[in-house]
Amino acid sequence: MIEPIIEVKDLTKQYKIDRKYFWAKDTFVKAVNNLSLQLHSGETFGLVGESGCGKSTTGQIILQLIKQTSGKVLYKGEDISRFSSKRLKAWRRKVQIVFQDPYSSLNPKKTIQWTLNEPLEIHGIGTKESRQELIIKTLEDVGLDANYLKRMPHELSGGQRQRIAIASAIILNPEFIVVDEGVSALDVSVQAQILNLLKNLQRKYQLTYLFISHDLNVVQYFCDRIAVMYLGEIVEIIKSDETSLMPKHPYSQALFSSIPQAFDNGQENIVLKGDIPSPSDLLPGCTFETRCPLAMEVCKKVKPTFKKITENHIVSCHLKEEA
Amino acid sequence: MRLLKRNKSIPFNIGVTLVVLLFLMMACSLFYTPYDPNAMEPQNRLAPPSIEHPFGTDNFGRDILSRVMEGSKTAFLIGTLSVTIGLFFGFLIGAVAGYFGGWIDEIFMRFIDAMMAFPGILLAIVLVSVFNTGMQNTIIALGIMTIPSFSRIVRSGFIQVKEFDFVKASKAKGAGSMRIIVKHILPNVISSITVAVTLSFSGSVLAESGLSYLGLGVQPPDPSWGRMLKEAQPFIVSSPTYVIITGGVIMLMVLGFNLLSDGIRDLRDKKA
Repeated sequence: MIEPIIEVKDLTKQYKIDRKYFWAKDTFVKAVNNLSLQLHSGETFGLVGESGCGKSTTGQIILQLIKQTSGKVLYKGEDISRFSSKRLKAWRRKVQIVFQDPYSSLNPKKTIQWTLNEPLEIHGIGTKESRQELIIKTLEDVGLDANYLKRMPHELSGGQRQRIAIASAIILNPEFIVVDEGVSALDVSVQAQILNLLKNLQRKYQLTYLFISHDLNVVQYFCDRIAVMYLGEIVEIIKSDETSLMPKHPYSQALFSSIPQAFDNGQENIVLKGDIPSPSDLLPGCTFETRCPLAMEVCKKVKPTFKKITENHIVSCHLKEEA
Repeated sequence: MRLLKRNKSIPFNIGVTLVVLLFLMMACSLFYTPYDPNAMEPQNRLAPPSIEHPFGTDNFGRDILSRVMEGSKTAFLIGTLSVTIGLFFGFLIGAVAGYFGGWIDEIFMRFIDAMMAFPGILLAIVLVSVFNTGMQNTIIALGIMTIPSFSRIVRSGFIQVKEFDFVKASKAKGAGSMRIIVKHILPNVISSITVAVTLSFSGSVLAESGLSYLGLGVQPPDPSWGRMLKEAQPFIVSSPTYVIITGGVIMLMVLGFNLLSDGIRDLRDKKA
């Protein structure tokens, strides 16, 4: 089997909550809880879940923008938290991030030229002339041209800004890009353009994407595999197949049944009842137990483990037995 | 000038005009004053405004216009230097606390809180009475007085900007702390710092006048508006022009810088 480009092992991130009283005990929120996943070279891996479930935190930990509390992130089998600062800087050339909000992902006081030149300057790539050539080539890659170089971010539309953000991510020729809600803030027509752009760039440069989104339609269309997250845990990883996505976990089923359909296909909307448990005070059993329509006695006490349904489909639920 | 024409903000324009006029007066006094500011004319004491003495004369028969012009040097010097001191240390403290956060922030901010617990002018009085009066100590005392407000403004700007995605994106591209502070955060907090600088400038001028009025600030022979006000006080009824003119000049200076800072704030908000 080929080694995964990025492997996440038992990743946990806790945030400390401010104590109410000086003598009170420290309490923690688990934003990400024992999360493991593998990304293979060239694939698009989708991470979906409701807001606050730890999708973005996971993406930022993989890029070491946030430090994890425990667990490991491996890049081609090497633990990146063991990297020296020099090695880490060199590694940053290989991994990039595109953020959700194109209005805050570009420095408002700097020209496009400056923004695109910055990564080259940081890594000391090329001469002045060769940098300029590379900048223009990258701009053309994202469907813009040299006329944009002298502009400021506020002179551009949201879609154009997102293209610039993508350009500044691919200019270092990375292998892996985290697209953190990369199209969520855009109009539907612009979304489609940006998604096609990402697909084309993936083909051209053999990129691997971690595509974080709450938009299930987009994820289903765009991703090869989808991981469903709930309260800091992955509950199901499923191969995306546009025609027949058959999630097995009750949460994924509810989630995917909520996608609005243009034509009524007789599918019933599953409406979840109950409350999300406080992430600072998790019970020993399944995290979804409080809202699960099919919850059993065992769900309250025992945490389910991952079971294989098919080669590309694993699920963590007591209802599913190994196939 | 381009800024003036483009900018329709009335406070900004009035503020700029006042500050520029006072600055020209100060610049002029470097080369020329109508009379020697310390020359006395005992036979012409407390004279009302006239052709020879447009602002009249004081209780020693000195020309008030010349003394006001001379005093503007002190006002600008003290304002500029104390703001520079306050900005330098305030920026350092605020930037480090805001950027790194955590326990460094905690320690620095408790220190600043302790400074803020004293009213600024009281702090200055204590410093001056411990380290003696005089121009130099007044500047240092007023500089220290402005540190807390600068460090708080810089800190909150840093905390706000460092969470923006472009800072994270730059970090993901391998940028170090120095680059992020200088190239990314600083250009985005500079406008709020500018507002604070103009505001502190007028605060310092006012505080200096207050200290000198109490006899704790600039000492003779250095000229000062605050001390002129003190000297004018006994004659407030018999010869009100002295008080009105000296007080009026202080007011115009403070008003000018306050309006200027309001204008800059408007300009920034409009742009954002």
